[in-house]
Amino acid sequence: MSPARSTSPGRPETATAPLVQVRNLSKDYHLGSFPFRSTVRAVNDVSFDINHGEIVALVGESGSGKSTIARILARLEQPTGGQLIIGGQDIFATERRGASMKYRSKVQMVFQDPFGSLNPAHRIEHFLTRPLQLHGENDSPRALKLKLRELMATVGLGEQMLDRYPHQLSGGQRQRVAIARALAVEPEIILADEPTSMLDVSVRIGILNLMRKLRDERGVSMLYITHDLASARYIADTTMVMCAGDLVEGGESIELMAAPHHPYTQLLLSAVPDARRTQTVRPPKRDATARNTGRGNGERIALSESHWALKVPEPAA
Amino acid sequence: METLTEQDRANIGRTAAAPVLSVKNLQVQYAAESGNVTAVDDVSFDIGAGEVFGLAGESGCGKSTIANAVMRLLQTPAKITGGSIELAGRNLLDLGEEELRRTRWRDVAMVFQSAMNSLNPVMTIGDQIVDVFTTHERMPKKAARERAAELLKLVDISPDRLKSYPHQLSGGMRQRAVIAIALALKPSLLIMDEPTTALDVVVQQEIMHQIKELQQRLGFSILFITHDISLMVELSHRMAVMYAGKLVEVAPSKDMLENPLHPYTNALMGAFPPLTGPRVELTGLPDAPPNMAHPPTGCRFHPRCPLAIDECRTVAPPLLPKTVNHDAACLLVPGYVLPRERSRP
Repeated sequence: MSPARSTSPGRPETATAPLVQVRNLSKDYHLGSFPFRSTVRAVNDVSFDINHGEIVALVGESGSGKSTIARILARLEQPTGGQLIIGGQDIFATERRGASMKYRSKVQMVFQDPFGSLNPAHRIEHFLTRPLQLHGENDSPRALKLKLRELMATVGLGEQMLDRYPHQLSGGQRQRVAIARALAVEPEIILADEPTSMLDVSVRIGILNLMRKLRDERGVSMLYITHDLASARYIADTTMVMCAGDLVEGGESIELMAAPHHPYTQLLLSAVPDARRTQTVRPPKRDATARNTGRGNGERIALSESHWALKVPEPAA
Repeated sequence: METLTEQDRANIGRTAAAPVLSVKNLQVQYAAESGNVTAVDDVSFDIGAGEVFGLAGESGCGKSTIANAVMRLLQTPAKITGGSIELAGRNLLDLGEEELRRTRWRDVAMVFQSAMNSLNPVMTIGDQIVDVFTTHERMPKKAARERAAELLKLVDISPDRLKSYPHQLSGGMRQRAVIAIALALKPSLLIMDEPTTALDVVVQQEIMHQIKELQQRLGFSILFITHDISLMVELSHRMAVMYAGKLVEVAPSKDMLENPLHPYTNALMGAFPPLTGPRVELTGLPDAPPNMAHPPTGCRFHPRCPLAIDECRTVAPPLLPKTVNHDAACLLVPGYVLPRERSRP
């Protein structure tokens, strides 16, 4: 989407080519059976890049298609059309359906629900040892222990937690374990689908800070999927807004939220609770905005070097 | 400086007029194998007529327990073990089952956390509203239908929807229908426990706007429970912050936002990244909510408090007025003086 931006200090050098290139990605879901078949276009012609060491946020309401994109990138879904190029390789063209080990060691996921994503019957040690054994070299038990300790330290957990079961940990600690598990294979990119929405407000910031730290210190790229615009602004270099399957606006996070262009982005931003606002604003009726204005021809307007928006079609006369 | 109207708003709960709800020294315990767990400990607050009172805090701090205690909905193993809950001068704890049944809905109604799922899926919206009128008011069916249509109009839902089943409405519409049902008998107090957590931001804003409008029009009081402080400050006149079963700060919402006194309130306020201004590093809280079976000694917040001093470990600070209308329970608040300990004979 944006041309290669100059790297901000403190982040590893950006290689010239983006790490992830998504080109014209589409996904249709077929509903019902004959004669009531219908097709829902969950993702419509979506293109964007994720650079090395960049956090890209994908924001939008439920049903906007943001999780579908994450699932396609995680190869849990097959797209209807389009390309996914990671490290110069066209993934869907060259690799067979499903996941390969090699792909998994590059792309890892962190899910929304830390209560459901960790098997309650295993100790924390198990969740971290497994990926190390499956993906890593055959480590000696001693080297393995060392790696475990280092992983736990990275996500801010004590070594003694390794012997615990998931139910003995708080939600925030469990999410840290899930992040450590993703980190174990030293991925290039982590797909984080609403990683904080099930956590208590007071510990959300801790997880967001951890994600920032991983980008700054390890240069891990991230696709951060959320409906919380403020948190996207807090950690993401680039924010993209999704509405009913379309990517409607994207750009440098702070710039985008200071000057939203697309009506849908404006609607979303106006709906975020703001303690400093004295009067609740009634959001404009939905039909007046993007959702029902129909799809344009996908033309993008460049608002600045690092900010673009989808052209809103003129209302039909 | 606050304007006069702001001040008036802040004073609503404290005026000489009798409060709608007065909770005094409420204590709720859960019986557990290892002994009783005190989930709500010595909590007192008043809600004035037409006041929106917010209750904020992390999960497990006891805020929903208070809501359920006011509705007298607590089931074993939870038990109200002390204090009083007065609704318009009547102590709800003295009421029998039959009296309670009449009080609920008529005097105090509640919108639950996932309220949109609390509608009966095999009954139309209309029938569910009509039910309220025929049961509580012994109203004839026809009149009840008319009232039901009015009620739906009140929350901006077209009366044709009376014939719809819950699954035919969107989440936001269902939530509004539930609010309409809660307001059917014009209660003087509406309790809302995280009414919008399950909804998208845009829908949340619509609902919040609607609630505010209805509250101003109909004049009922609200006990509003949420963990989203920004949302709470936007909606409520006064708010309380709760930590580990105790109120740690009570103040007018704007005052709380601009001048939080308790370190925990401060941490909660700092847990929300802003939408404007420069990107600053926020800290949040260390990840260890207290185990309520063995609450920390002294101030319950001291293990997570960045400012804790030695005394915090041993002295449990009571909630005391710091300035007019602004109470806090912290030894470190400037000018905070503990009441002299009672001398023992």
